[in-house]
Amino acid sequence: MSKATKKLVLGLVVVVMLTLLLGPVIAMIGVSLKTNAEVFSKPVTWFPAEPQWSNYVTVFRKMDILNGFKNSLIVTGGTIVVIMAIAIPAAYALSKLKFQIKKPLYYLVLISQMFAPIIVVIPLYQMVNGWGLINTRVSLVMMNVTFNLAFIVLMLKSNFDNVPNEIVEAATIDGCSKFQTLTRVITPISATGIAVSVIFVFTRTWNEFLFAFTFISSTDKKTIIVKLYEILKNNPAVGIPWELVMAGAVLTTIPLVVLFICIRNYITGDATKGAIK
Amino acid sequence: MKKALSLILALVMVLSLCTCFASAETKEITYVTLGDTGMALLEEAAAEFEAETGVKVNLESWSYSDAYQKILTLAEAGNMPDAMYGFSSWTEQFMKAGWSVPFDGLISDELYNDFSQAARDVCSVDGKMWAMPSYMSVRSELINKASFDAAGVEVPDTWEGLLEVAPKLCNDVTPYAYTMVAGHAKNTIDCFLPILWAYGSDVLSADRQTVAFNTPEGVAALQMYVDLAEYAEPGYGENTINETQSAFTTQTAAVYIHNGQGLAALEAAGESHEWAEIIDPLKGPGGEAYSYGVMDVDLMFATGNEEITAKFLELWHQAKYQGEVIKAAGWVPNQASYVEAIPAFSDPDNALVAPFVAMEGIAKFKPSITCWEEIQKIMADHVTNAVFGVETAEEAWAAAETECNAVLAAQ
Amino acid sequence: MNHSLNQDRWKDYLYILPMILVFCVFILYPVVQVIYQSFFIKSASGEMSWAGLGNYTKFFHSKEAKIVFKNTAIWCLIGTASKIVLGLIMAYILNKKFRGKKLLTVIILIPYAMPAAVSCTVWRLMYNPNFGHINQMLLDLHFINRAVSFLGKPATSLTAVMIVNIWAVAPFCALNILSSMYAIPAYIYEAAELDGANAWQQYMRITLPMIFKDVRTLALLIGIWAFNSFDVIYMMTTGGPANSSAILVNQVYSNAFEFNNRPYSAAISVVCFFILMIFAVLYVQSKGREESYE
Repeated sequence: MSKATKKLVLGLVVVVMLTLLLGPVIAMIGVSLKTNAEVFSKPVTWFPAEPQWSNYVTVFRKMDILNGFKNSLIVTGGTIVVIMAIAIPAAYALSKLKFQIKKPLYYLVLISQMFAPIIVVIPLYQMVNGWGLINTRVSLVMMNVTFNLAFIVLMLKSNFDNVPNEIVEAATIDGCSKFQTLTRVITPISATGIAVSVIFVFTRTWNEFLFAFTFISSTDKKTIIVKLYEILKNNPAVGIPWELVMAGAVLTTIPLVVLFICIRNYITGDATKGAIK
Repeated sequence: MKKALSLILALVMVLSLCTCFASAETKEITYVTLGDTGMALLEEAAAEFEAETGVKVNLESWSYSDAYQKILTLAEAGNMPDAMYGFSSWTEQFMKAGWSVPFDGLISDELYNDFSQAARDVCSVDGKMWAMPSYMSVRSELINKASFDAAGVEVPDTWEGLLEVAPKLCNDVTPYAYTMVAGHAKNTIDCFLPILWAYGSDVLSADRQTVAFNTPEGVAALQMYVDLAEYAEPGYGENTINETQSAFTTQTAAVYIHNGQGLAALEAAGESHEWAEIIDPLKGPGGEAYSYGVMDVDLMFATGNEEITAKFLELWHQAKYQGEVIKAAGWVPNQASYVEAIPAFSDPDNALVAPFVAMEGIAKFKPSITCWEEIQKIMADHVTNAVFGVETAEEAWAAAETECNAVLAAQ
Repeated sequence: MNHSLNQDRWKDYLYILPMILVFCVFILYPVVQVIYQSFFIKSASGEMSWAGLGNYTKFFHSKEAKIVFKNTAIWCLIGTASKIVLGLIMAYILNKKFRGKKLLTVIILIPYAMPAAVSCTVWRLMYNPNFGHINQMLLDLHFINRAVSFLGKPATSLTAVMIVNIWAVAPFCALNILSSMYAIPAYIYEAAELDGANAWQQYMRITLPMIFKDVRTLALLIGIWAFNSFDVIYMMTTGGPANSSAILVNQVYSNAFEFNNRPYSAAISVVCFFILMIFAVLYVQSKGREESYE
């Protein structure tokens, strides 16, 4: 093959890849700007004749999306705080401290990463209900903490592993206690890694469906993901208002895409190594 | 990045603390409605109730398709709302499980006598009223007249007649003749039972211990459903009743089974439904025909708030509140006072309601048994298999009979 | 010094105590509970009675078990293989130098960043037989002459959902594989170049063997995720029509929440554990080996 054909083939593959990856994204944006009649008219077009920006306003007014955003933010924020408070010390212990059950503990973390919430959702429901916490956002925080903890501990551990042991030893000689070493030495050095794991928790909690769907029944406590799902499932009088659903979908996705673009260089770097590979 | 993050963290923490612990203790009851129809009027009723009694009514709205599993989860955990919108087919199961409470003695005689006898019967088990009738969704066939005109055919009065003209109904006005459901369990049965009944078959035998659909008539009914699929809007495998309604109102399909709510919605949206017509239920080979009755009810749960909850429901079941919702949605009322107060219900020219009111007498209901959801799922799965050619109609009903009888025997 | 360290030792456990507590309360205890519940049956009035292995035999003899096991195998094996292969191809391209590469890396992230609820919604619209883009395209190209309901046909529903899942996860694989490729030292390629190896030979003889271990671990992890991915299928088809797109975890959900048969659902959960344990052992081994290389 000559260089020119090679380039052509590569170019073609890239174009195909782009179309496949972006097709649904373009469809989403296209439909979000159509009128309801346009959505149901034939032939199906990718773009509206005239973009209806008002759909975005309508979705805010009609679907109580702001409330959904608020709930998602509360749950996500709570989860981040709690999970970091538990995971940072644990990752520190697994990485830098020496104690007997370290290896089995490491395997325990690895394995607990595999248990899908769906398998234990019933006993969890009964337990949380027994504590009177069902239909509260606190219960969602507890569940999200549980099922993201292993992933985050592994991620942080490999971050802390990168902090040279000499620095830790130097800190000890300077009279730092183990806790001070963690707060004053390890955490600042690994700030980027911690920030990346915070964003991972954010997205995973933001996207969480099962618990948000089964544990919450009050309309004013539902997260944005469940709201979006229910717009589809609810009994709309004349067909599903797809254009509004898509406008909602775009709004739900934007924060995540922005966050991911911010951390794109870290996603596959050292920061996530321990958890993924 | 660090600064921004810590700022966000702090903000979110404060937010969560505020909202998590901000609820103060007052007397409250919770009422769950389905979908968002009538929400505005419910809010008004709740406001009036709070002004009168000082009791706050929390209103929640669940989607129709998830409502059953949601209430089961909550009830299993002893965490029910005080009352909810539901269906008469749940009544017996919830009663047996000890979750619901009867309305006798909790509502005034005036309201009790306001309900039609038929409605009270559907909601009663062993002489007690375990659910409060809300309205009846009487369903029959709706047709697109324009499509029939374009095809140049008469409107049939039997299912066989419909099948005969079906190829011609796939035309410029409506690309497909029919729209139906064969997948989603509950809605599959909603669409199929009228045909089963028209053919002279039924779900359960008279003693309710075995199923009765595996007869030559039952098989013929299933075969009719399979044949109709040929000319149906192709989404039936993924459709719910919502999508069939949308296929009809967007003039994608010429015929479908439902109540008047699709047309009412068109009217509310300011669109014409001149092209649509509600016809009498299509007949089977033996001339039998039934309209399909779904009784929507209000259920009350054993939460200890029964007395006050019943008061709220009594307030809600008035012409100015629920009556208006029923009128706007195109449903059929069960209360004499609604018909008196709202002229639209008794107006013979009201194309949305009058035909359905006339069909109330031939309405047939789904059986109310404890294991209904399982029976429904088994039947629907085999209907689906037959429609998609995985099984023949005979095989499907034979297998469904065995499975259903096993479930019934285990009760 | 040593003395004080020893005295402090119990304090070290305080660092891991909260984590262990969370695991015990929210994972271990429910797991035990599920196993225990799976040995009971429930009557119509809600009373529990001992059933031994009754729920298990009922499940293994049921008609849906056959479909569901087959679907789970297809979903996990073919799904994971497709994700890895596409990931390898995308990583291969992204490893080359060309204009617009940075932009492409960002674009690749979008499907992965999209919430499952959003991507399922979008794809449901695209698959729709009446106003979906896919049917319109296929009709325009004359591949089909009548609109097809991909999600609504037992023959195609699982594949249709699988495509969505592959679309969402393959970019993630690509980025991971890419970072493994970056880790290969440049001098190895330089040496191969001197030996006269062309680009394809270099890829087959150097790149693939060097990233093999990472890819294996990655494949196991996304295999496990696939096994557990209840929400994608639930949101697209709820497992239907007639169970044609349901995998094991969907049966756990529908039996627990739709048919209210908790003990039966628990038994299916336990079956899931056993399968997950096999994955877990392989995964830990794979990780363990990798660890010893470092």
